[in-house]
Amino acid sequence: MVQREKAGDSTRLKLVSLLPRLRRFAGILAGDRAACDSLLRTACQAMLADSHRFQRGTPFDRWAFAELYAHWLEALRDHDDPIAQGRGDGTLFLAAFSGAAKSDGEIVATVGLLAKLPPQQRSAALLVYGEGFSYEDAALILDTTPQTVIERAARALSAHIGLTGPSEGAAGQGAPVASLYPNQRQAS
Amino acid sequence: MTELSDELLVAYVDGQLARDQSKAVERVLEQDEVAAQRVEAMRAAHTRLEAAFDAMLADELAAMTGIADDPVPERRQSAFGLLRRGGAIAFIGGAVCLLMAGAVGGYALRAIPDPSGLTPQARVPVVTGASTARDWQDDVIITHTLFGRDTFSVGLESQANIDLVRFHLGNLVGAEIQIPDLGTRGLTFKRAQVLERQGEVIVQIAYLPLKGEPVALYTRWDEGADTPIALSRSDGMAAAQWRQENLTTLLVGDMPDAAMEKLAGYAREQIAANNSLSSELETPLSAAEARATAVDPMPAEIAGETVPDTDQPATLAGDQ
Repeated sequence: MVQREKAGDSTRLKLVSLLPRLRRFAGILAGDRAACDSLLRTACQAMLADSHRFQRGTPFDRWAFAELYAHWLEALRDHDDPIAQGRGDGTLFLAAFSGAAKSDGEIVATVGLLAKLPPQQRSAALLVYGEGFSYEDAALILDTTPQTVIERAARALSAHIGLTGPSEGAAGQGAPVASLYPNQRQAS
Repeated sequence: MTELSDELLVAYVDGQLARDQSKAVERVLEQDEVAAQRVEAMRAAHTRLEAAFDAMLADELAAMTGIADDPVPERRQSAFGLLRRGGAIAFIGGAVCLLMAGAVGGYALRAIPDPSGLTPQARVPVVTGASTARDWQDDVIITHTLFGRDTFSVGLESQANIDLVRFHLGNLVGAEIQIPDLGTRGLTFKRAQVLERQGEVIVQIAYLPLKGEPVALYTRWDEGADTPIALSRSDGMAAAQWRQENLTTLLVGDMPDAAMEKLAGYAREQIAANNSLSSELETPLSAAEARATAVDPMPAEIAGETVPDTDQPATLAGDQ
């Protein structure tokens, strides 16, 4: 028999192999390292506890990314001032990805610009450009529509057009959370 | 003149439009210089974002494994050159998987690092002594269990030239590497990459069936006389090992032993006959195509003990 499919360790093993990607996603959402690791820990605990909810046939990474995003959104909703939470400190965001920021100036500038984007735009850009998900899969992860993913990716891409040097990407104040409720849940 | 929205241009740049839509956009771009410049700018931004996200991931891997703390050996650098961009991540991922397998394999998968215990700058514990107690075949099989369809669902442009990939792999291993054509067994070549175990190069040549989990050949330099195929089973995986022209190959997959034996025999024949894939014969699927086929809606059912000898794709899957 296939042990990894029937044992509880299956989810744990797959999560371990996904950890670097999940941690990058958590950092993109949370905006600073402490919040990132807190979010990742909470989400991983929940995924391990609720591994039975994973349906075979669903790409595991898509499920795990969606769970992580759901936990981030849930934590935001519990906050006193959720909309402002995305307006993180750009310096902390850069610090969270300090290793990447040690790269060449263009990458530093790009990371600096990412820090200024709302978390939803950052996450759409990551899922499409960093993870290679289709718009449809990214929409399933973000619990929204593919059209919204395209719009967010377009805004993120537009923000990086014309980027010429590190100085333009200097980290500053981030952008607020665009919305607490995905399009599919909004009242018409 | 037709005006193209940013969203449409982004979808075009991202390669997520249907072919006829892409052609329609290209026709407009031929006539609209402003839109064409916008597309070029978007492509440049796209490239910068990908590079930044790759750097972020490499940063995460370094934080969790400490790989970046070690000086990069020259051989690994050349592998990075070969598998740059998506390939680099695949390479690092493979290395991480092997390290993690080394870390946990010695305890029969019981001591897997707990993701929920992650702390800032936490490192996946690598028990260096554990992997030395086992042979490379065990490590490879444990590593193989970490690969799923999604691992190989993203096509790598850098691997479009299979001849070039074989050339570089051959340089790393020190012998000509064959990428056997297993298409008649329903297996599509997806990726060849280098793994390292205790400084030793192991080449992974991965294939995907239409349904089910990946199948891969793991090859390493091993001077000696040719040996017959020997079957084994570990961690739910069937494995077949043989030595051929100073290369020991381990074929690993989730399938019945009989199917593994037939597949190994066929692969060995293909290698002996020098029937390797080349750039003219096969190209890895594009990312979009691979994503479209990445979902396996059915549990891995047995395809049967027999593997068809026809050109029809087969399904290689679990045990009976």
